[in-house]
Amino acid sequence: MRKPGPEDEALLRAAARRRGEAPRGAAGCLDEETLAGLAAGSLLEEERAAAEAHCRACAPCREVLVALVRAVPSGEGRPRRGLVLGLSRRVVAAAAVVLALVAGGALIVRALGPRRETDELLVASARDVAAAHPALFPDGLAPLGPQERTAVAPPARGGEEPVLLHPAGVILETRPTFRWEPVAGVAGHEIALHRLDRLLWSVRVVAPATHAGWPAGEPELPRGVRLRWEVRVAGARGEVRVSRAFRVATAEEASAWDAVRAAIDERAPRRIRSLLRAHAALRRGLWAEAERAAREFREAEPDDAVGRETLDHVLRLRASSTSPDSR
Amino acid sequence: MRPGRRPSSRAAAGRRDVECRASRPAPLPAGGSCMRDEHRTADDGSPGPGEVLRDLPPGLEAVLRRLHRDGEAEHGALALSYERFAGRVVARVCRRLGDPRPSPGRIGEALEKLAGADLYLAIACDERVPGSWERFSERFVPRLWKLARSRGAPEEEAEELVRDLTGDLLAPPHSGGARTRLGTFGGSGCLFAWLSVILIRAQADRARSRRPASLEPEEEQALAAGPATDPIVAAGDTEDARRISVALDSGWERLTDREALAVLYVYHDGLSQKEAARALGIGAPRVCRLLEAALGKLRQAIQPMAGSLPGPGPGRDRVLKALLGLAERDRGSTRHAETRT
Repeated sequence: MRKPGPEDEALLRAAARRRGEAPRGAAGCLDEETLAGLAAGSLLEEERAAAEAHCRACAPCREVLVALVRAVPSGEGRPRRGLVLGLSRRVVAAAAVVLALVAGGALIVRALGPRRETDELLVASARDVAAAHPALFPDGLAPLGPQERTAVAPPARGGEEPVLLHPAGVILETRPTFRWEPVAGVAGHEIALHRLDRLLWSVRVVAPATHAGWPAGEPELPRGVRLRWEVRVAGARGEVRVSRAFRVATAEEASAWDAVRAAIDERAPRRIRSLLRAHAALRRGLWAEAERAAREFREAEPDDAVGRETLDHVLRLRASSTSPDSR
Repeated sequence: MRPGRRPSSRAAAGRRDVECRASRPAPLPAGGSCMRDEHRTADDGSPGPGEVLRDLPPGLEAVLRRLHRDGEAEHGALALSYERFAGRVVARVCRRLGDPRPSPGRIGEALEKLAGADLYLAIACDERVPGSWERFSERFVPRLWKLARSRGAPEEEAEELVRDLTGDLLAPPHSGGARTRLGTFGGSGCLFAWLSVILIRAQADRARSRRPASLEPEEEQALAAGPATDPIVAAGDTEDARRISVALDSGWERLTDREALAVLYVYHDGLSQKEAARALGIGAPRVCRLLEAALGKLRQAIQPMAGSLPGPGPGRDRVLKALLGLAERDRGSTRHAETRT
């Protein structure tokens, strides 16, 4: 927001003053539990909405809340991740420094605990969801372990080759939008879709466009059939072709994925839901879904190492030039 | 009370009273311990928290164990077992959600947001775990005393307020569900905030109870001036000012609760945008966006009656004169209040 001018300030002050003094009976005021939760930002969604509606009209409750914001340090009472067996932060920090000297930076991260905690929670939640829905997970649900998450090498990116981003792996939509990273300095890209060696569709896209939607007039893409899309570009060293395989999920696979999402949302702790969805999607080859879920988790828990590794893994897979889907 | 300071005899007597009450065993419910409540099936046949606890998925058990560990790390290991702690926490969550058997997802959502470490201490105090009350006193009594002092209470009164508060915490609650009032702490926010609300309200009650004896000068002035007038009308004293009041009211009704609260926090309660962000549980950039949205709606509301807002014109000038006059008055009264403080 630009800095409000005197006119804006006057307007906001006038409005605030007219409504700022609204009293309310003490009997109807928020209790200490709700006010403390509101100040900590830790109420459930419906509790928070009701409390805010009350505070809008109740000056005494707002007065207490304002005092709390000023008196209570931010984050007090929240769990301190990384504490071990009652040792103080300083002791843990000192131990971490010693470890850093002895074993290097990688070991510190492992020793501090959150990664292990997330991994444990992820595995326990996956086991629980799978046990509650054996028909959905006949072989169980195993999240990707640390080695698996970091196994895919980052794709080699040549400046003269386009990188094909989507579709890749198994997709849910039957009218996908084709997305790629273009080659700089070329006039355009030619997009083609093949089923086996038969050309189904092709289009020329003028640079700098980086996507092309499946045309509305064309029939939906067939489900369960392996397809290959290709980007051709005429560069300085001649024509370059890059292709990538994918397939549209069958109707059974699509409805099974809906059921998996519902099962995870029903059983898994809220904190871990999106991460578990990402891992479940990865196991089914649904990379776009995995990316969406991994980004959701990363946004909620930006410091979580498992979330970071998962998203990196998905991004590496999506930008990979070979598809692991061999069906 | 205050560390490094010799307590007054009155305060010492108060503390003895608290210690005495703390060491006195509370009467147990007939037929067993309080924990029976946490594990039984409810009278209406619905499952009790004990059953919910037994059926918890491993993911949630891991969260509960983490909360227990957080408590031990923060307050030292007290003789409060994981099972007792988890039973009480799940009972609280069920009560909070108003559902005797909430779905694991709902329980998980509530558990993730709990101030587990403080809950651990409060439950330990309620369960009369040895050493817990001492931990509580060490940790919170000096801070509460400081809070009362920072809000203008003289030393004696601050001591009295804290003594009364700590005494109340050990008394049985009106609502039931725990042995002591401290046991009703649900962990929605941190324990210090929970205690602060009680203290601030007690302090305000005291101030109110003293007031009728002698009217404050400004109250006398207000009484002499007659019934309160609309501040905008008073500032502008024109037909336009009356119309602004109506327009602002209609604009205000269009604000969402969050937009209205952001405006109130920043332009009425004197919070900085960063503090307002904390009060709303959001980031500071979002407060800016809320204020911007509120400003847009308020401007839109007064635009028709001002004729040419935001462009120049006689209608706009009259509106601005009324609004700026009011803002000046506000700033003046704020300065006056600060001087008095």
